[in-house]
This record gives sequence, C-alpha cells and structure tokens, in this order.
Amino acid sequence: QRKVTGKVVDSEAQIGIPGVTVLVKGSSKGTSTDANGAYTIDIPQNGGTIVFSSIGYETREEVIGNRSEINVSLNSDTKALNEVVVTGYASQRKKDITGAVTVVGAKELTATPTASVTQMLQGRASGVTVGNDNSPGGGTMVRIRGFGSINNNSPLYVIDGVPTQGTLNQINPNDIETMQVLKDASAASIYGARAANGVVIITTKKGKPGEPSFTFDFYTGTQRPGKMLNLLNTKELGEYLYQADLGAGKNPSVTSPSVQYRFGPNGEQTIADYIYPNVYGTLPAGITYTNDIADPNLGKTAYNITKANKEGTDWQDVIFDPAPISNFQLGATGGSNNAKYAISANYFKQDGILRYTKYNRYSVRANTEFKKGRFTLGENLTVSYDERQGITNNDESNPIMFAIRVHPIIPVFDITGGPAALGGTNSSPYNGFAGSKGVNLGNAPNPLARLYREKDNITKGTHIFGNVFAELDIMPGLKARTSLGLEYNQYNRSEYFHRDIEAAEARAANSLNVINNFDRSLTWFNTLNYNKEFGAHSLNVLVGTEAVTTYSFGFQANRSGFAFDDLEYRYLDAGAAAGLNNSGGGATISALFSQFGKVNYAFKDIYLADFTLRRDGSSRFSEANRYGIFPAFSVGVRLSEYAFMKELKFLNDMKVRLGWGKTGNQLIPNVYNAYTLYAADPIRNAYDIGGTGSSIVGGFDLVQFGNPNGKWETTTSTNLGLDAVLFNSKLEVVVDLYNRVTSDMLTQIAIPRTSGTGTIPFTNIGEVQNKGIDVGLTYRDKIGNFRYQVGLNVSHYKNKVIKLNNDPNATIFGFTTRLPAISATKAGLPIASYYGYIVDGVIKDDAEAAAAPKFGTYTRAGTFKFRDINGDGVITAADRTIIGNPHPDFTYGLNVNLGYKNWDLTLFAQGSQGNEIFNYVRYWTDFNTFQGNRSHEMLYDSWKKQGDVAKLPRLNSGDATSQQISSYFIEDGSYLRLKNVQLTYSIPTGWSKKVGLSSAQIYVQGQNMFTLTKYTGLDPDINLRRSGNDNQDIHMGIDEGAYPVAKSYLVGLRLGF
Amino acid sequence: DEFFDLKPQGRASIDQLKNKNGVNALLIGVYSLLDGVGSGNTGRTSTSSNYVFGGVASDDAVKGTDAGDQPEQSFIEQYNWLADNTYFLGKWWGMYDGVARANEVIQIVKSPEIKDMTDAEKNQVIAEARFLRGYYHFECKKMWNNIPYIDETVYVAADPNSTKIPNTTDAWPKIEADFDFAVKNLPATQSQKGRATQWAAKAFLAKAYLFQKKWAPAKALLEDVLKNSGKRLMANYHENYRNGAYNNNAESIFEIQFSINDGTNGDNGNVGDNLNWPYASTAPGRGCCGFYQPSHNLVNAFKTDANGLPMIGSKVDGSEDTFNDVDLPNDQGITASTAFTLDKSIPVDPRLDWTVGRRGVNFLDWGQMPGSSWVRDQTYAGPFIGKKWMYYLAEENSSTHSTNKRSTNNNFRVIKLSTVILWLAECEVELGNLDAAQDLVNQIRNRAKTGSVQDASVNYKVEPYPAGTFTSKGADFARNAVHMETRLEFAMEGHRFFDLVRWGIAAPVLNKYAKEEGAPGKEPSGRTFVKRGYMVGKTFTAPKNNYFPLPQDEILNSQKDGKPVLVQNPGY
Repeated sequence: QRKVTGKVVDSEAQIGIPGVTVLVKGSSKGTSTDANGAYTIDIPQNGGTIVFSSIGYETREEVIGNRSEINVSLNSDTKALNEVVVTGYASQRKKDITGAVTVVGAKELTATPTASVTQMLQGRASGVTVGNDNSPGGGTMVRIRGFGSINNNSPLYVIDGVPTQGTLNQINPNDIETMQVLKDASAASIYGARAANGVVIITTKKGKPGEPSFTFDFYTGTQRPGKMLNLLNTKELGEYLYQADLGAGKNPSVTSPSVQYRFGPNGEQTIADYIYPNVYGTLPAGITYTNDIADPNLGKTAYNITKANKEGTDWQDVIFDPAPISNFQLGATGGSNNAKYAISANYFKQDGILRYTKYNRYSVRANTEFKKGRFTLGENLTVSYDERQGITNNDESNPIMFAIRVHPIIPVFDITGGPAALGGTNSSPYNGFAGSKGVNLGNAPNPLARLYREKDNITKGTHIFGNVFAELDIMPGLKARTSLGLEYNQYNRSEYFHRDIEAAEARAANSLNVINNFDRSLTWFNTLNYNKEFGAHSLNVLVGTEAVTTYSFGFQANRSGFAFDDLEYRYLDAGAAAGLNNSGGGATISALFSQFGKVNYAFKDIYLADFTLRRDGSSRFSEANRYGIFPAFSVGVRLSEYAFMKELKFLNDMKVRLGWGKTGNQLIPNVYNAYTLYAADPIRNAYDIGGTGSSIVGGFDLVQFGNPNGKWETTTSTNLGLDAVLFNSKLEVVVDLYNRVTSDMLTQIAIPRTSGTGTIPFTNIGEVQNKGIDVGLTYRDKIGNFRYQVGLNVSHYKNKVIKLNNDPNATIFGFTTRLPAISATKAGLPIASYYGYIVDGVIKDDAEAAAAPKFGTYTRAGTFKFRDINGDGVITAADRTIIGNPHPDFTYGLNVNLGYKNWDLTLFAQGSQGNEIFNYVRYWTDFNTFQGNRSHEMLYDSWKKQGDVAKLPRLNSGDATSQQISSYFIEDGSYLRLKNVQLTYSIPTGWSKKVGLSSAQIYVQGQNMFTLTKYTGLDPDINLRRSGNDNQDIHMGIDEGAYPVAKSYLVGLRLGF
Repeated sequence: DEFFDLKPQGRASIDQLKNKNGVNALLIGVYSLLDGVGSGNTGRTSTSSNYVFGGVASDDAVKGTDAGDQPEQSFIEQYNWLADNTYFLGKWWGMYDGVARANEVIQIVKSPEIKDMTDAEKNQVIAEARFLRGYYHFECKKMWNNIPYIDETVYVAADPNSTKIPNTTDAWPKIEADFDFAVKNLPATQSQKGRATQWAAKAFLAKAYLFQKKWAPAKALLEDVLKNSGKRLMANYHENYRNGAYNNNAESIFEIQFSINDGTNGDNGNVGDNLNWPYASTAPGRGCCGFYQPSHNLVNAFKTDANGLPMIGSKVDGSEDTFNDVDLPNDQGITASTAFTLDKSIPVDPRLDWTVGRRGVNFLDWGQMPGSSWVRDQTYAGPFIGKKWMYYLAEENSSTHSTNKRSTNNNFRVIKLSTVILWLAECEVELGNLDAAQDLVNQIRNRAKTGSVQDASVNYKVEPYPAGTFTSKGADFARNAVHMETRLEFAMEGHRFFDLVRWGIAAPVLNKYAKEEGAPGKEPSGRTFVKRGYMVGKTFTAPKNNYFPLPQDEILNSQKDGKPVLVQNPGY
C-alpha cells in the first residue's frame, strides 16, 4: 500500500474544488478533497485507476501507474446540470426541476459570516427578502415572493427532513451544505398546508467516504458603528428651548423654559454649573452626596450631585462602541461506503456594537449514516446552547431611543465618576450614573446606565434539533424511508431591574422577573419511493404520510424589593413576598396529519412533468373544516433539444417551465381560533368586591370569540419560467414570472367593541395578490490567469389586497404608538400602507396661512400645511389618507468573484429600490415631543420668519399638532449596500504540506463597508425589522429606533489536515 | 380523530360556567371594569375618575406635564376633538366591555341548566348586573349622548357582530329601567362592601333623572336616600379622600374598590390615574409624569369674600362671578430653588388645600409642597398639583403597591351623601324651594367650616349662606350658588365637564375660562405672571362640543350591509 497525493482544480477557474469524491475504482477505498481541492489516498500496490467525481463536474478517471502525485482538472458539467438537489421528501436532478427553485450553495452561504442561517440568504436568491434585527442573536425574517397573508408570512424550513418555523438561530451556519428555496406552489405543494409562504430546504454537511479529514475554521474581527443622527449639543439645545418659548408667545428671559438655562433679553445664554441640584456657580455648603433612592433627604439636601456637561454629551457615541466577533469551528468527516460521519463543534461569540449586548453559541453537530445490504440507518443531530444578552425590543423604550432623547447637558456619570468597574469611585457597583432627575431634563433614562445594569439579564437557550431515519431498498428502484424528527427548545431568562436613582421616572423598587419557556415538536414521516426508467421514459413516484405534534408552555414569575443588588442574590425567593406575581399562561398544542404523493415523469430529456397532491388535517380548525387538499403540477420542455434550436450555436441549454398549484397556510397566530373562550385573569376580571384593599376575588370574562367555520388559507400560484445556458456555458439565465393569489385569507376583521373586548376571530374572507418577476443572471469567464464571475439577481413583486371582507372600506390598522395607527391594510392597496395626513410643506407667510385649510387653531404662518383631502375646508380625521408604501419596486443582489492565481476577491452588494420608510424617530427628534434632545434640523431648518421656505414648522413649545402622523415622516428607503468584500489567499499546497496541513487559506473581509441611501435614519434596512412576533407584517417599514447594522472587519483562516 | 382532539388549554368554555361559581365569577368580571382598567386598552382613557373628559376638558384642570406629552390629551383640553382620538376609543372600549360582560352574566344566569342557584340568588345577580349595565351605559350617555343601548336581547356571545344596532334611539328610558330594576331587587345592604345596594341604585336613578331635568322624581329618590339610607356626612371633608379605614365610610353610597399587593403588579389599584402624580421622587407616587394639574381658575374659585362666601354673581352662566379677576398668590414662574413666601392672608375655603397642592402649604404629612421641583414643567402647566388621590407619607407602604407607589388602594367614591345633598339642592332650586336648597348647601358648607384643616397658617374662612340669601337674591343666584358649591365640593373628581353640559352653561363658562387662563395672571400685590398661554383662542362651540365625537373606528366597524349603523354626533 502506498499513498498518492494531489490536487483537483476547476479546469476554467484553476482553483481547488473542495469535496470531490476520490475513489479507487472497483474498491471501497476513497476520500474527498479538502477546502483547497487537495487529497491524499491510500492505493493498492498494484496501482489501478482513481475516479474523481463531484456534483456539477464531469467525472474523470486517471490511471495511477507509478505516479505518487496526481493533479487533475475537472470540467464543469454545466451542460449536464446533473447536480442532485433535495426538493421534497426526495431528491431530483437540478436540470429536471420544473418548479421555481433557487439553489444556494455552501460557498455562497458562508461567504459572509453571520450568526444565523437565514441571514445568509439575504441578496443571494431572487424572490427572497430577508430582514434582520441587527442585535447579536436577534431574529431574522424571510419573505418569499411578497406577502401573501396579513398573518404569518414566514416560510417553512425543512432541515434534513425535519420541518420548523422557528428563527433557526440555534443552527450553526457553517454546518450547512446547501439551501434550496422552493418558491412556487408546484415545487412547494408537497409540503401542503405549510407551504404557502414558500419552503426553504436546508441540508447539512454529510460524511463522505475516505480517510478522516479535519477542518478548522476561524475568523475574528471587529464591528464598528456606522452613521449617527445629528443632534443638538448643550448650547444648541438651550438655543432651541429659547426659540421654542419665544414661539409660544412667552418671554424666555422671564419665564425660563428650562431651569438649567438662563437667558438674557436678547437670548444670551448662561448654563447651570450643576444640574442636580440645579446650581449656577459653586455648590452651596450643606449639600451632601447620596446614591440611596430611599434617602429621605434626597432632593432636599442630598443629591447624586451632577455637574452640567456644558459642551454636551454625545450619547450615541457613549452607547455604541467597536465590538469583537469570533468564530471557531472544528470538524471531521470521513467514513467508508458502509458508514459515514460528519461531526463538528462550533463556538460563536459576538459582542454588539451597542454596549453590553452580546450573543454566544456553543453547538455540536453529528451526522452519521450506516448501511448494510439494503438497510440504511442514520441520524442528523444538533445540540446547541446559546446566551443572548441585550435589548429585546426595537421600540421607543430601547437604549438607542434613550440615547437620542436624553439631554446633552447630562454627563454620563455624576461627580463620583460612576461605579468602580467603569472607572469611578462610587461606593455602589451600580450607581454613580448621571440622569434626568432634576427639572426640565426630560424623562429619557441614562441609556448607558440601563445597558450596564441590565448586562446580566441573559436569555439562555438550549436547543436540540435532529432526526433518526431508516431506509430500506425493497427492490431495485423501490425504497421505503421513515424518519422521526424532534425539535426541542428551552429558554430561561432572568431579568433584574435596578432602582435608578438618577432617572426622572425612577424605579422605586428593584425587581426580578424570571421567564421559562419550553416548546417541542415531533415529526414522523414515512415514504415509499419508486424510481424506474423504461426506454425513453423515466418515472419517479413518491407516496407518504406525515404526523406532527407541537406543544409549548411558558411560566413567568416576579418579585420585588430585594435587599441587595448582588448578582448572587438575584433569585425569586430573595425578594419581598409582597411583590410576588406569577403567571403561567396556557399551553399551546397543535397537531397536523398528512398524506401526500408525487409523480415525476420525463420523456428523454425533453418533456418533464410533475404532479403533486397533498391532503392535510390540522387541529387548528374544527372537525368540519379540518382537511385541506393541495394539488399542483408543473411541466417543462427542453427547447434546446429540438432540432431547430440545436442550430443556435450560442445556446447550450434552454428549458421553459410552467407550474400551477395550491398551497395552504394554517399559521394563524391563534391555535384555538375555533373556540369561544372565557378566562380568569387577575388583571382583566378580578375585583376587590369585599373592599379589603389588599385582596381580590377572581372573575371570568369572555376573552376570545371563536370561529368554528375557519379553514385553511389557500394560495394559488402560477409560475412561468425560463432556464437558459448560453455562450459556451458562460451565461446562465433564469427568469420566472409568477402570480400568487391568497384566498380565504384568515383575517381579523375589526368588530364593534359594543360586543366586548374578546380577541377577534380569524375568518376566511380576505384575498391578497402578489405578482412578480424573479431574474437571475450569472456570467463567468477567464482571461489568461484572470478569472471572473458575475451574478446578479433582481426581484420585483407587486402586492395588492384584493379584499378584506365584503366591505370595500374595511381596514386593518397596524399597531398604535403614541399616535393613532401608522399603517393601514385595505382593499386595493398593498399590505401595510402608511396612513396619515399629507403635509404640503410649511406655510411660508400670513397670506398663505389665510388661504390654507385650518386644523383647529393650529394653522398659521410657519406651521405645516395639512392637505384637505375631503375638501370641506378644514382639517379633520377624515383628511387622513394613504401616504406611502413600504414595499420596494425591486430588490437585488450582485455577486462578483475575481480570481488570479492563488488570489480571490469576492464582492457582494445588495439593495432595495423604491420602498418607503416611516421614520418614527423623527417624532422624537423633530417635534415638540416630551422634553428631549432635538435634531440639528429642527433648530436650523425650521421656519423663522415670514417668507421662509422651511423644512420644519416654527419652533413653539406649545405645539402638539405638528407631530401628527403625516407624510413628513415618509422617506425614501432605497439603498445599495456593499455587504461583503473578501480577499482570499490560498497558500500553495507545497508550502502548507511542510507544516503538515493539506490545505490552508487566509482571508480578510469587510462587511457593510458602505451604504448608499437617502434615508436619514440610522439604517435603511429596517423593512422587516419587527420579526420576532406573529402578525407583524401589517406594520412593516416603521423605524422606531432600531439597532443599526455594524461595519465589520474580519480576518479568517481555513485549515485542512 | 383522537389525534386532533386537542382542547384549548387554560381556558373555559361557556358550559363550564353554567353554575353558581361560574355565574359569580362572571359577575365579578362585570364589577372589575368599574376602575376602567382591564379591557385591553390603557386604563387612563377609560378610568373611572374621568380625569380627562370630566377634568382636563373642563375649567378644573389642565393636562399638566409638558407640551408634547400625550398630545391627544392636549387636543381634548383645547377643544380640538377629532373622532380618531384614541382617548374616545379607549373610553368606549372600557365602558361597552362592561356592558358586554353584564349581558353575558344576565344571559347565563337565566339558563335553565343552572341548578345550584335559587331564583332569589339568580334575581340578585341579574339586579347587580343590570345596575352595572346601567352604570356603564350612563358613562357613555354623558360622553356621547347618542349611543346604542346593548341589552341581553341584542347581545349574542358567540357573535361579535350582534351588537351592531343604531344609536338613534334615546337611551335614557333603558338606563332608567336598569336602575329601576336594581332599586326593586337589590338589598339595602350587602355583606361585601363592593357590591351595589338598593341605595346606590336609587342614587343613580336619581342622577339619570337629574340629567333629564326630571326634578320631581329625582327629588323623591334623593330625599329617600338622604333620610332612610342611614348614611351620614363624615365629620371631616378630607375623610372622603383618605384610604385605609376611610374607604367605604359612612358617607359613601357607591364606591369603586382598589386593591394593592394582591398578587398582581398593582393592576387593581387606581392605575387608571397613574400618570397623575407629582414629578419628583420625593413626592407621593415617587415621581412620574405630572398629569392633571389644577387650573388657576379652580384655585381662585376657592377664594372667599369677607363673609366667607364664594365670590359669585347672580348670572347662571357665571359671567358675573368675580373670583377669577385677581389671582390667588402662587409661585408661578418662580423656581423651587428661589426663595418664596406665600401670602396666606387672603381668605380661602379650607377645601382648597385638601384638593390642590400648592407651594408653601402643607401637603398631607409630606411637609410643605416645595414648588416647581414637584412639577414637570411649571412654565407650561402651572404651579399646582392635584391632591385628592394622594396618600400620606406615613401610609406609604400600607396604601401603595410594593413596586409601584402610583398604584394605591384609595377608593374612588363615585356617589357620596354629599353628592345626594347637593343634587337635592339642585332639585329644590328648580322646583322653586330656594330656602330648602340653601339649607342643603349650608349643610355642606358647615361641614367644610367645622372640619379639619390642612394648614393652620392659611387664612381659612368659609361660612354658610346667611338665612334667606337664596330667596332674596333669586333663583339664578341660587342656581349659581349650587353650581359653585358642587364645583368646590367635588373639584378634580371628574364630574365638572358633564355638570357644565347638563346645566347648559358649558360654552359660556369654558370660553371665558380659556380666555382668562390664557391671559397673564395678576396677584393682589401687582405681580403678573404667565398662565396657560396656549389656551388663547381655544373655542368651545355649543352644541357641537357638548358631546364628544363617537370614535371613528367604532363607526367604521359598525357597518352592516356596507353602511355604518352608528351615526356620528352633529358637527363632527
């Protein structure tokens, strides 16, 4: 026995091909190439032939002879497209697919290091939109081909055959081999009732026959905050307060608008030296320092003494900091033809650019498969544990909004410099922060204090995901398969809230809130698959059944009044019993049972057809409406096989596809929709009927109206596609046109509240249409040693609500903040259109004011000119109308790969065009909303005098009208982002061998290097930001001060040995 | 199909409730909305105290806090009433949820499947539920006037669209019928203090008559309550606003119960009013928000003349009243860190300092109110803070929730014997019995005179009207005097706006108020100061503004065959 080594490269690109199967012909000895395409194989003394095979390449054989090094180059098999992909309960050759499917390979997926699998899809596949909340470990949201429902639009994920609709955060992205996105009904309907929003099939890395091969992947880097808002400094805020008081008809030199500022008759400004207590000049004798919120002298003689920051604190700079990110992954694969394994261990650690936010994940994956004779047994399993620390919302009460609202005159720390851990001298480990206590300092708490004090509030998750499967080859072509899958998640979160002495609206008592959630899902499916070729015909028949049950349960308890704040003390029992409160919610259980069948037929390679039928039953619907049937078909014709097409020499392959089918959606947020229910609830319906003052008697009330007639939402989709390979296989084109109509949409139609406040039942009445086009283009070529590939995908959809119910005016409003609802969903319009007043600029002078429609007594020179939509001469609620659209005209991704010898440069840009964002942050920064800091624009671009053509209305501290929901808040949200730039150097095999490595690559990478956008908020990529909850799409596109994306700089290393 | 047989977890079906326990629990659910909290909206919009609609919309109070906070409250304060204001919607939700729950229990208790209750027990449940249904509808009636009356013949539990009925039929007869049934079927006393009694039903029925100017039947009921209910005036005015032993006191006729430290996060305390606390953490509530501040106009109303009488004239619409001509000295425009001595020599009614917190005067047992440091933005909202729902420092832990000091168990007394007395005075004036009316008013004034005072350093002076005053000055003076006494006695209790409307004087009173509250203030010393400049030009238009606009969403959601069955109020 001796060894042969060598490298397998792509014949055009001349770069190593990883994962090529290298086998000695006629034996079971085999291995596969490493990340650089290198391999080592034991061969018998008598030589023989080595077979090199890889998906997407033509197989090649080499006679060994007496060679000890065999380097080969493989031709890519673009003509054949023989790649096999998983498209349902079975797999299929990519070239035979007649539905709309996008395959994303591992190399593209892992190009941009991310914490989450779904994030990797962004910009990679046409028709797929991805949003994410940029916080470490935060949620992501995937939408395929628009928005079919006002309910849940999340696709179904199927990981190694196990379905899930969770966030996938628990899956380590490096374990993914490929992802297939099934976009239309003909491809997805095999998943029936859960496929209406598309299906993402994820296949994890499997073992390959051969010697053990180890890989070590590592990257580390730093993430940096990007754009900040331009807000006022201390002096400018004083100037703003002065002008706003003048605008309200006051005399600020007499009635100072803020005790920290004094104004002379002409606006000359003096700033207090201390803001708590408020003192101009030196501190009077007798004032003592305290950090005890219960000190009876607090605010009288004792203060957490705070100096004014006369220059101004840049709060955004205070809370955002560069942060490290690292990932370590060690893996081994190998096996024989009878037993294969792939195991990996991963540690991912990301700190957020928002201080004291972070995410850590530890995960282990083991995929094994054993085969003996006709029987195969295997398993895929991931176990992971993660810890997430940080803000849990993107709304107005997050630290980012606090940093925007808090006054610049407030320093970060009081005179003690803060707690010792932050460099101060405070005797308490959690005090010494400066805040808004005092007068006229607003009510935003010190955001750093919040972040620091809540840094130990960690969500801990344990996740198990995997399946065991068995397969039996009953006879040639006939296989039976059974698979039992499990998804298990457990979360524990302990939230401790400190007393915050320095805050204007201080928490008077500390408290601890403990939350435990548990959910599990079991999936059992059985399939029978028959594959037969006879003559020019080939047939594949699949039949199967599937049963799914889910269970989830939550428990929450809190107590307050803890004697000490120490970390070791933060357990429920340590709190005062008086503040005890707990709740257990109810459990959520559901079940699904299905039967399905699928037939694939091909005649030669010319005519292709698929038929699918699935019948699903769901516990979410009453017995009478339990079952739904979802048929689909698709046909394809390979035009390039026709004689007249063969004359077109530039055309290598061309196929047209037509698909039609129905898919279902059962994911209404309420699994018990069929029932009218009553519940006991100590807040809703308990009462102190005995007049005790300290105890309640429990009550009941109707909490939910049921709809026993509810049934599946059905999406009918039609897809027309074209696949073409042109110009010596240099250009690949995929174009899909589609029309998706969701009918029987489960809709909560607002009810009159004269019937009480029970939850509105979901009723099948709505109808939504999405029409669109997906285009994918790839061009690859080389010029000498220089090789390049350019990929572009562009997606467009047009979303329209056909009807909500039989009333054309029925409207579903989005959530309300401090103002009436910002978005409205209504027939004839896209889902979640913005709704409010139209502002026609700022009234420039008295003449214009006289002619303008009046909004109560508000309207005058220098105020917004609200448009009188109904023409009655005055502005009333009836003048609110549609003011914007959150949906883009199109989204796109651009991938460029350039290679020269051992160097590779990858560029990936992605963007969105034509969508509008509702910049709710401006409600706080541009208007007279609370006593907060204001934008630079509000001071400098507001109306000042007759004739001014201004952006913002006159400053007026009495104004509560300008901030009405209006077109002022609507901004163009288009952007182009350079998501990723990566330069990779593959160390020549000769060098790496010397240190015992079979391959080595190093790379440097920059993420989110620049973003071109006109959007003025922190980050334009907010469209799908509120991804965590159900039913959030009806108010998409609203920026409430969301976590901005970081610029990252990474270095990475990939070693194989 | 056993596989699919998954019953809802942690919830009950209607069949599980068809027994005594279920019925009683559902009835508790009807009571539980009296505080306005718990029907899915924010409590502040539907709180029983009606502080926004009855207080901020009237001349008693301004919104308080700072200009940009809760702008929808500012719109209400400034008579810019839009149908999409979420405060109107919140009140509607809260009250009609109470109606729905009442109908629910009435329907279920009538079910023959209930075997473990006697007919008498069932009848009492119906009587309590109808009392509450009348109460919730009454709240709606005074808000919107044109309202749908939903009873158990209309309401269908499983069909939320069953209640789409028009608001064009006057609801008064049905409100009267509900209270009348309660009068006839409720016991005079109940062992549980929170439950409605026959006396409460009589008082509410009288109130319904009063709103319709049915003076004679109102008088009969009120006299009955006054003479036969066994209720008496507490010795001290302030005892109606203290908690602990003073809850459910001898004067109280119907009271909304608050509880704290009951296993919830304080959600059963007076959380509907949880924004209405001083701004400073050294003050009751331990710091927040600063809403619902008394107006200068209200404070000035407590001034008395040399004879200890209100400074009022003989015009019903108050146009000859003189109390607001010069302002009572105060610290407007003077920061807390600046020395200030309050001129306490000007005579005031002692009820002022049980109603309003003002700098230089004792604030319960918290020491002197320190001025602007307790106020969120004095230049915007003025120097005063409300006091009636505040607790004593010594009772901080016994009367407040452990984690939230802004949730207390200081009950809200909706109807007191003092209310009955002044309503009866109103009837007597309208029925021409001016002396009788004066006697009743004087009962209230005498209690104010002889009761405890907040701060002995203030020149308190309050006297009964000398015999024959009402008769000699005439009916209009008597009316004005009863109105004034009602205002003083129940200031900051959320009744004022609705009283002004039912007296027919909302427009003149409120327009005068807006004009004067918007203008600079002037003290006897000659010091001038800025009042609420933003009220300049704010106009109350009658009859439009006598009622609020129906919530826009509710009109939209009342569609039947493409047309809304609810009709918007005139002018909106």
